[in-house]
Amino acid sequence: MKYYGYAGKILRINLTKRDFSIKNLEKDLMVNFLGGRGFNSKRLFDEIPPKIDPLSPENKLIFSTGPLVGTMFPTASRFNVSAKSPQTNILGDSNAGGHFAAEMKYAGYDQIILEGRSKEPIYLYINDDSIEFLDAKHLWGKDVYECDRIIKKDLGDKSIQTVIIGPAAENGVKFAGIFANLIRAAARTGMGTVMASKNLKAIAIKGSKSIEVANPKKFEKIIEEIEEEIYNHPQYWPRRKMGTTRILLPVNAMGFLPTRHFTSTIFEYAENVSGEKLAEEYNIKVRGCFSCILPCSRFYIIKEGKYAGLYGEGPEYEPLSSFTARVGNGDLQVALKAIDMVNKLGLDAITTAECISWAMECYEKGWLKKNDVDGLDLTWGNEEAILKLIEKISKREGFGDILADGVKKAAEKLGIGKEIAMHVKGLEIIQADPRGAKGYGLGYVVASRGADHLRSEPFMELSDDPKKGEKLFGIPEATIRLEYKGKGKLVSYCEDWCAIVDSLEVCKNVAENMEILPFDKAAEVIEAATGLKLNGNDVRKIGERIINIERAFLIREGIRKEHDTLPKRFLEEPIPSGISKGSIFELEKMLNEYYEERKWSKKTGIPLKEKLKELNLENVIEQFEKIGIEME
Amino acid sequence: MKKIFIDAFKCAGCKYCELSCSFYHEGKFNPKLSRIRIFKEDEYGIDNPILCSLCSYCPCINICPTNAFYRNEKGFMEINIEKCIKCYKCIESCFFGAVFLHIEKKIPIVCNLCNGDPQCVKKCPTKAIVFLEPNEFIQKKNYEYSRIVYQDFLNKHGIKIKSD
Ligand code: SF4
Ligand code: SF4
Ligand code: SF4
Repeated sequence: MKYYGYAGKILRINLTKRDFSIKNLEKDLMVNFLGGRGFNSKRLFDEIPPKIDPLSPENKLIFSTGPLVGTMFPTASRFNVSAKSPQTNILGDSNAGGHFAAEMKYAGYDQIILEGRSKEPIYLYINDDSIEFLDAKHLWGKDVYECDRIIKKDLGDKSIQTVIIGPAAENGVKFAGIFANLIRAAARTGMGTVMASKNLKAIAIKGSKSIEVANPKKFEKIIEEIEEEIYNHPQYWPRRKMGTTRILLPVNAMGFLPTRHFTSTIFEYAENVSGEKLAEEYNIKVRGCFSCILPCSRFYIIKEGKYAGLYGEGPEYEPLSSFTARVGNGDLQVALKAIDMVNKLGLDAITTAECISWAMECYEKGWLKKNDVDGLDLTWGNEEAILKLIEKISKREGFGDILADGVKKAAEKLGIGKEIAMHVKGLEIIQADPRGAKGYGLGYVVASRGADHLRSEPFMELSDDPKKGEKLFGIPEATIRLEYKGKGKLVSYCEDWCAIVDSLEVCKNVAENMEILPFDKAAEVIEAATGLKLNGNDVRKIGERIINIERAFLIREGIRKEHDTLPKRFLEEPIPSGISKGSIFELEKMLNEYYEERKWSKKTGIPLKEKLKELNLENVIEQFEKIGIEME
Repeated sequence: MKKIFIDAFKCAGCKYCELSCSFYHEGKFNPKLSRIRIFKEDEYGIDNPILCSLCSYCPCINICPTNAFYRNEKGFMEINIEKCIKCYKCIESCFFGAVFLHIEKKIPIVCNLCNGDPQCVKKCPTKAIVFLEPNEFIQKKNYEYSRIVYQDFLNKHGIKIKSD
């Protein structure tokens, strides 16, 4: 059969035996799980038995792209990488843009499955059907930038695309990422750590094949419509100028910008570290991911001061806000330096900043003393402390060794600050205070990879527009940020949507935040590209199926209702000041509605049999029965 | 005569031009079948579009032993595949490396301006490539350059340049 949209092949590589096989993409996977994240979550559920050690050779590291990647569909440039997470011991999954995913499609693959563990450090060179296992001893210990430079020199080709891990991953830091195009990070849940445990430093890829679509005329027409929608969108120019950093000031103004480790939600230096400031004083040009007509990435240079001469691409809102407000640092240049270090060393910026800001709060409270933290002065915003701790974490040196397992384990190990360790299920919370945006908060509570906004991204609630809630869910409060009613509906709707966007491997900034790809439109695009006949409801059902298979993976690992919660601070301490003052997070008010909407048990959080049947997930029921998980 | 001019500093490296070129000429998506190519180095933020410059003195045409490489009546480059003996002399001779290789058919390919309606220019989101008469291009460039030169001075006096 001829595949349209898809590359049509799955590459399975065994690193222990150094061999590989190439098989056709399974029809079932295509029809029921669509692509990218869907492919990965299904594959993990089927092929990884419960309770394995994530750093053992039994774990599998899987890269997938989607059916639109490699075509001209604007922003279809991403890949998901998944494995069991060494940081959280549940589903690990991360997503990045750049040019790697498209090259993977041109090499002929929708999915690459890495199994086993190489004895020696190696890297892979995939060139169409040729797969080489190359010695990486000379690359071990090198930072992401150096490694990329050496690989391109070794292979004599600068147009090759790479994904690389940094020294942090090699040193066993549990939250190390995988980096494409140097700074495009699939950083969450420790996928880099898994890659390092397989002794795999990098994958270099190059392909010469073409992607054809099922209905070129129709596809071209849809692209023209979408281009127009993007160019005419009111957010087009702010996003192109500032990327996601444009939201720093609004989040501050709405009073939910996590400041000094969530002890406050307003940052007095916000102007100094804003996206506007970055754009006006530091950016020199725009850059973009493959096939992106927005393009929102920026190249900056620091022209004067202590860090004069530092240049690079980015940053996005999360790292920028993390290394400024969260750690109490008002100096933009220090943040740029910190982010540059995090990228080169190969760390997750959000988790790294949480660990540092958590330590800073413990220090302020007197729970940590100077001699507990290698003589560093951990007062808020201290430049030396921030930069030194990043380095120490990446080397697992001194106090950095304790932080290198993530904030949950650090608190357990030291026996302090457990209730202020800001994580859900072991994954650190991002830069938006859940007390000030209830839908986002509910999203963190139920996301399948721990505290995470990108699983639901219910940005609609920030509109504070009751008409929208009324129209979409019949509940005006659903789209008002500080209200509770309707949030279960809002979050499950947005989760299904995000699952589709992640599986098409399109950029969420455009497809979801700018709302150019609702379910109906997605169905149209999928049909024109792949020939699969679907309507909007079918597409949403695929999203739901992905959410449920991920939940099933978590259930198998022991996650239940009691794990669907937030750190105590958000449930008990009201926001101290600003326009969100007095707000706390009342979980029960939303969680039941969410379970109801999902048809998950309100007692246990396990999906109901009837739901699994409806989604054709009978194999989940079988598996659960076999290992004695009781269902309702 | 109008030609495509490049402003590499504006290019974002999105390769949307490569995709539109390949789709228009080959009916499928493959940057390695495009008549325009973007050369990138992420570390320095380099994104540089390369395509035929429509030189007036054309080494590519002059060197072609079979006259397969020619200028059509509109003045655009064309390659007559039937005459091409795949010696790749045209590839050798182009100063810019703007004659590429069709990786499937192994024949040289070069920008033919889509016969006067350049797709890549139409699709480029940053206007890094423009289709203009040389004089128009110079004028545009001069105005842009003057603004850059005066930006700081005007800022200092509180005058904000409005973007077009
Ligand atoms: S192919 Fe090269 S040498 Fe020939 S006209 Fe174009 S740019 Fe000039
Ligand atoms: S003008 Fe046409 S042929 Fe030339 S590079 Fe652009 S799209 Fe390709
Ligand atoms: S479409 Fe424009 S911005 Fe994108 S790579 Fe081509 S020339 Fe550069």
